[in-house]
Amino acid sequence: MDTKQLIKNISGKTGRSVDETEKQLDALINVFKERCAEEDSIAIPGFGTFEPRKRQERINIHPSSGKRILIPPKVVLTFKMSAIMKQKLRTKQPQ
Amino acid sequence: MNKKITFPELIDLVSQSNGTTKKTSESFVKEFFAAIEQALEDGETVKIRRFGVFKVSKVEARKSVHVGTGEEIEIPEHSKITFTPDKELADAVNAAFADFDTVEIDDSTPSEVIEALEDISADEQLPISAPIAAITEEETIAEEPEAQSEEITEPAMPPEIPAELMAQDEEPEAAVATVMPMTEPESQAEEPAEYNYDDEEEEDNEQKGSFGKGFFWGLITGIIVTALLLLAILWFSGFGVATSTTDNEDDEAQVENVAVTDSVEPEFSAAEAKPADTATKQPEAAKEEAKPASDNSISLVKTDTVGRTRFLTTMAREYYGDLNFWVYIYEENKSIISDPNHIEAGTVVIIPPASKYGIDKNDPESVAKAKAKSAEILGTK
Repeated sequence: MDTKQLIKNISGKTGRSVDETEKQLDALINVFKERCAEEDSIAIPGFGTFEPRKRQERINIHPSSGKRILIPPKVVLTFKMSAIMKQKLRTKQPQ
Repeated sequence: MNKKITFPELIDLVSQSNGTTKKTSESFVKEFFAAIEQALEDGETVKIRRFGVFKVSKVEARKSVHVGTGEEIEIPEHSKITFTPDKELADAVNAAFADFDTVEIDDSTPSEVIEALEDISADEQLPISAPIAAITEEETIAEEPEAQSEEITEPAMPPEIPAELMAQDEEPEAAVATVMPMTEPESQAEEPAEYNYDDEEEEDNEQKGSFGKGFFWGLITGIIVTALLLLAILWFSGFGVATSTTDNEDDEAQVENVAVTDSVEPEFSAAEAKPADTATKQPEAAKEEAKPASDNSISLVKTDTVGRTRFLTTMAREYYGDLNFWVYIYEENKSIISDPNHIEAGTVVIIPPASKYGIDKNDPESVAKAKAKSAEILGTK
């Protein structure tokens, strides 16, 4: 499912126009960008938590050249699904 | 910073950002995640432009050990949701470290690593990592305490050396005479450094780069200062036979020498200025002697006095920018302080240079280390 489909889906459910929904999505993404850049984590109940985490710098060996390289520290956005979500997935896809 | 944003807060932020009511924002955000959830449950991959990709991935069954009982258990195969942020979002999150590049290390020497890191940190003004701080810490500890404190004031020292080298060959009295004018500018030069701790820290960092050179100069000045010290003591003890009052002064000076190690010259120059009429001028000389001594003790080996409203934490905040670093002041003065919670007012403590313990208030890791340490210290007391 891609963005277009998702927006259509949501606008159908909320009863608002596609344009409006798109604006909402933009706003939501902007909020995520701003807050996560500030190292705030965002928790969505029943879905999961988005949390920026710092990855420490480390020295590694370049896979092809074999030289040692220093990989700088960085902040990555991690996602951890909630327990409710986990349960739902388990019952839905028993396999 | 490091706040957890809850659902209502998120709705507030969204509605503020696009000017719609909370109600519409709430229904949208709810539907947004519900739609993603639904698609994921159906086994679909959800790609959202500018945001990222949600995917359900399988985790294969694996063996593990029960944490409580130690029994071997098998974790069954299950699914999990992975989220890969879009480049735009990932870049926004990583904005603070965006200018860093992967650096190739040619040689295996640690000094290369330090230089590379210092280059980066000079450009970025970002925290130097803990492991590197540990390396430099070893180096500074390896030096003699005398040489170490001299290295801090190193920029002020070199111009003095040639004169002192010459002076060594001359007669004791002449030596003292030549040293006197030279030491005055030195103590003046030290004063600004004393009030500007940040500058000193930077100097310190630079010196780490040219470490070999700094150590060499430090060693030389150390030897010269000790030689001068011996000469001066000899000269004084000769003088002490004549007048008994100067003998006391000499003793005092010696005690201070031990405390302040290498800040002797100003004291002696002050005392030697009036050796002729000791009886009347003695108190004055003593006063003058005390003043430079305390000045130097702050700039060379940093000390501070604990007061009723001045604690180790107060000092840590002042010198290092974060109160959590008080543990290192305590560590440095363990011999004097028995209980960090009950220090008598008037206790003089040594403030270690920030580099010695890898103190960096901008590095969350360093702060966390200090916190852990403080918990450890307070826990054992």
